[in-house]
This record gives sequence, structure tokens and C-alpha cells, in this order.
Amino acid sequence: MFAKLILIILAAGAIASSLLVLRQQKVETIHEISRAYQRQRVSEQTLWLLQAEIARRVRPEALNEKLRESELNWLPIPAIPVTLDQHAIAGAESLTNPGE
Amino acid sequence: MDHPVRHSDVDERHTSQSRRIVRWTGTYIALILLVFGVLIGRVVQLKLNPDPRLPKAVESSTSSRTELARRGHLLDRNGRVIATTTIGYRLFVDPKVVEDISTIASDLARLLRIDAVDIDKKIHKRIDSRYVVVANRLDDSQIDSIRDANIKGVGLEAIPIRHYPNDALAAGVVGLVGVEHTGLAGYEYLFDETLEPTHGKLTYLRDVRRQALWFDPEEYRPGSDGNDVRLSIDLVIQEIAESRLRQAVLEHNAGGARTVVIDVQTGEILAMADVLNPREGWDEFTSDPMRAKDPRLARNRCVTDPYEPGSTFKGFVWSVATEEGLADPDEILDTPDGVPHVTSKGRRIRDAFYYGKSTWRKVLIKSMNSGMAIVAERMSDQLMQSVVDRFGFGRKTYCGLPGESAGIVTSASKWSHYTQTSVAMGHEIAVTPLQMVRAFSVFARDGTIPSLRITAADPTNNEFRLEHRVLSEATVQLTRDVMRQVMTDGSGRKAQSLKYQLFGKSGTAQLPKKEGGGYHEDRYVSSFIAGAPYTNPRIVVVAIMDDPDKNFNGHYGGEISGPIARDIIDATLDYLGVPPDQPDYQGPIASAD
Repeated sequence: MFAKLILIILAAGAIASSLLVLRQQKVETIHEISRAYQRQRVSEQTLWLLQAEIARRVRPEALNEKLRESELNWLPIPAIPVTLDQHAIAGAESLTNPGE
Repeated sequence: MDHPVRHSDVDERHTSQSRRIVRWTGTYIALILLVFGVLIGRVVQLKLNPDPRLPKAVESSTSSRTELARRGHLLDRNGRVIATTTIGYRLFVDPKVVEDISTIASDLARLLRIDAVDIDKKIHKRIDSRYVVVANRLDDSQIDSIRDANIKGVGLEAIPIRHYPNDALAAGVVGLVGVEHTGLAGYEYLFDETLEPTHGKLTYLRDVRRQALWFDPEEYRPGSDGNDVRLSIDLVIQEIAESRLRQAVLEHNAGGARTVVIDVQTGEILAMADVLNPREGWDEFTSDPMRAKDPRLARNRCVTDPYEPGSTFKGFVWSVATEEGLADPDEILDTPDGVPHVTSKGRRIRDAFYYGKSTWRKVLIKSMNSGMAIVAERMSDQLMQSVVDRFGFGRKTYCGLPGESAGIVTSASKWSHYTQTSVAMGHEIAVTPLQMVRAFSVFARDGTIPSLRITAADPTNNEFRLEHRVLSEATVQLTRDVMRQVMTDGSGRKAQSLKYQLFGKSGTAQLPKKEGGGYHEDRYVSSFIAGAPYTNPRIVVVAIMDDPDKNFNGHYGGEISGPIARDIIDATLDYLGVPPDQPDYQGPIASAD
């Protein structure tokens, strides 16, 4: 009987320990999620900065400057006439140059 | 010799052992129940009557903070970024926590490379506060220095920073946001509600050193970024317009210049530029103190400031008089030769040049005031007033831009013979550049007038757009044909394009005096309005030069504003990939393959 009682107490202790381990794991998981979230925020903010920098570098004035620096003879390309209906289906099928 | 064990002894031992087990078991159970009882009692006590220090201690272990969401982008019609938001940091001090303000001030001054006295003053000014902002918008090196220094009572706060990657390009149109990151002027103000983000909220647990351990998922409220707005503005066309205006203002030592470019089919405003020259003698006409503070706060004169259109208005009167059958294009009018025309009420009408008897067509081509006055007298007052009204003058375009002016039109009750003949020549009426391009687009379309729009049109979306007919298609074609001749035989000759066939009209009006009424004798507003290509018009451009210096390169609209409109049209159509329609054009053009 005494042995059974000891067994019960040990089992209760083991269950309690397991619960504590699970709780600790939960806390660590939440902590890790929080850290991952913070890292994600930092990455997001870096991405925002990069987007702003890209926008600054491709502004028309900067592109014109690059074109001038390239000293190449750039020629305008005539546009392919596109009707409003073709605009709507442009995503589905590619348009071909009617001049070809 | 072994003693036999008696059964009674064994039973007695067993009985005694059982009693002991029962006794111990009972004791253990009682103890466990007691412990649970105490715990439950404590829980009840904590719930019903906790120690007053307890809530404070619990609260201090958690903190809430705002998770900044991003204000929406302002994009041009092709998705180029006009305004975007990033996260920056500002530095604040808690004077209640810092140990020695002077030391902190000198430490921060060293780290931020700013004046220690300024910091000291800022902190002392709000010494009772817990939050004193010392520096806004720190750069990366400053942020790193502050973080490494880890000074007690000094903190960094994340704040949204608005960026305008194109610097001054379209600055007056786009506007800006204020300290609270809400729109103050321009499109930023206009679309503030759409662009505005919803910030999130985060509650996190802190350890004894007040460092964040984790956030509470149940208390997390995610933020949502503001919506992007795709404007009708095209940054490339805007750059074309602004750079050409800046060049022209210097060339003619003008007080300022304005231009608006619209897509005639959709009514989209592709570019809108307003340049002022801080020239002596001009600022009296354009008092705009906010422009000096920040160009983004400038008044957008294309929307707010009406001007006298002069002869550019003649096309509207000409087309309606023709449509109403009051004059035939080939009818010969009794226009004077060398002397001013005198109206039926004795008003003397001067022409810049005298051609003698001329056809109604030639009246518009040569921009003859006398011919316009002759036909204006055939028109009723009501018909002339309907010209003003049906082309949308005297009322706002309602395109949504803030501060829009309705222009200045003489009311019917004050309408006189003088008004009748003046309006026919584009005087005694003031219009905004925005009204002007909208009205002129009637000649570039099928006779209908479009609604202007400041956001990009979606060709896949068949949204309802209000358009109403102003002229018949036949009259439009006729007027456009005559205005094509303005470019070849009239006042637009100096604005002829080698690539595209333009149709347009010049105007030169005297500058009204700021005070006391009347006009300056020798100061002008020179304008030119044109559409192109002639056969299938895509755009309309108005170019206005405010008070050009006559001694530089002349002052007539056809001479100085015409080339501006032409250059903007050439570059814009080139950029849009519209093939040149001048029959003789032999210029370079690449093949699409």
C-alpha cells in the first residue's frame, strides 16, 4: 500500500513536472514568436527604406541624367495602338505589333 | 529451537500496520486538502480584496506600444512612387529620470552633433514633463550612437517619416504631411482619409530589468496600412513641363509661368506645373507667403488663380457663333484697314495688325479683334453668356482639387455692350488654366466636354463619367481646322512643331492692376493653348507666361508661350509613343521590334 502511495505521489510529481516543462516550452515559443515578429518588423522597415531609395534612384530626372551620361543615341519607339478592349484582355494574351 | 509463531500475533501486527497506513493516508489527504484550501482561499482573497500594491506591480510588468502602420503611397499613373513612408526615430528625454540634466545635455550634444545649450533649454522649458523631444528624424549613425550609449532617461521613439523621392518635382501639387503625419496641403491633404493607416497595438510582458520578454497574442491588435492612391499625374510629363517652364521663365525674365497637360479622351490631368520667379516687381501679384516657407505649401495657381485669357478665348466664341449660323467661315466681314473699328455703340476696337476686309475664318486665324466685335454684336447677350457657361467658365471644374477658383465672369445684371464685345476678345473675363484646358478639349474630342480627373483612369473599369455635348461634331472639325491654320498662317507660326500637327490659339492680355482697377500699359499675360495630333488628338496643353519682360524676347503669346506649349507637346507625345503626323517629318524613329 505504501509503495502504491509512493507511486501515486511520484506520478503526480512527474505530471506536474511535465506540465511545468510544457509551460516553459510555451513561454519560450511565445518569446521566440515575439522575437521573430520583431525581426519581421525590422525587415519590413528595411524594405520600406529600400523601396524609398529605389524610388529616389529611378525618378525621371535621375534616369534622364543616366541617359545623358550614356552618350547613346536613344530613339523613341512608336507605340502599338491599343484599344480599350485590348487593354482589358492584355493580361490574357500578348499583343503583337501590327506593323510586323 | 524455533518458537512457533502464534496466529494472533501475526494478525495483531497486520492490524497495527493497516491502522498506521490509514492514519498516514488520512494525514496526507488532510494536508493536501489543507494546502488546496489555503491556495483557494488565497486566490479568493486576491480576487476580492488584493493588496493595494499588487495591481501597480502587475501593471508595471506589462507595457503597451503602438505598432506603426504605413501611410498609403501616392503613385503616378504608371505606378512610380511620388510619396512613401518609412520609419524613423526621434529622441526624447524624461527629465524625472535623468540624474543630471547638464551632463545629459552635453552627452547628447556630443552624440547628436548639435548644440548642448539648445538641448538644455528644451529640457528646462518642460522640466515637469515626462516627455521632452530633443531631436526629430535622427540619422542612422545618431541612432546607433544613442543605442550604444544607453543613457538612463533617454529614449528613442519610432515615428513615420514621409519621403518624396522626386524632391521638388510636382511639389506644389503633391503637398505634404505635418508632424502628426496627416495631410496638410495638395494631394496629401485631399486623399488624407484614403491614405491614412490604422496603427496596431501590442502589449508585452517585461522582466525585472524592464526588458521585453514577449507579447501577449490575445492583446495583439494588428495595424493595417493606408490605401495607395494612383494619381493621373505622369512624373515624366510633369518633369518635361516643369523643366520647360523653368527654362522659359529665365529666358523671358517672367514673373512666373503655368502649364496644364490633360489627356483629352479621359480628362486625366497628366501634368500641372506652376513656377514663380522671385523677380522684383512681380511678387505684388502673387503674394504667397507659404511658398517661401515650403514649396509644398505653395498655392497651386493653375487651380486657384484666374487670369485673363485674351485671344485664346476667341475660339469658343467663334465656334458657337458659327454653329448658331451668325457668321459663315467664308463670309467677308467689314474689318478695317489701318484704323480702329468702331462698334454700333461707338466703342473703338484696335487690332494688332490690320488686314482690311477679311473672312470670318481669317478673323480667327489672324486673331482680329475687329472681326470678333462685329460678330459679337450679332449675338444676343444671352448667347454670349451661354458661350461662357457651356464651356464651363464661371464655375469650378469640381475635379476635387482644394482651393479651386470659379474664375471671374460678369453677371447677367451687369452685362453691357462693352462686356459683350470685350468677352468676344477674351477680356473682362478671368479663367483658371484648369478651366481652359477642359474647355479647349471640346475641340480635341467630338464636341463633348469631359470631367477632369486627378486619379488615374482604369480602362478595364467602365465607370460612369459625366460628359455633355457643347458643339456638334461638324463645328468641332471646322474650328479645329481653322485653329490648325492658326499654326500655319496665323499667330502660332513660331510654335509650329516639326513632328506633330498642332491646332491652337495664342492670347496676349494686358496685366490688370492690383489696386485701383484698369490695366498696366506695358505688362502682359501671354498664353497659348494647343492640342495634338491634329488628326487624332491625344493631349491639350495650355502654357501661360505671367508678366514676361518685353525687353528680353517679346511678349506675344504666340512668340513666347507657343514654343513652350509646342515643346511640351512634342516631348509628351514622343514619350507616349505617338507617331509623328507631320508629312515632312524625317526624324529618327526606332522600330518597335
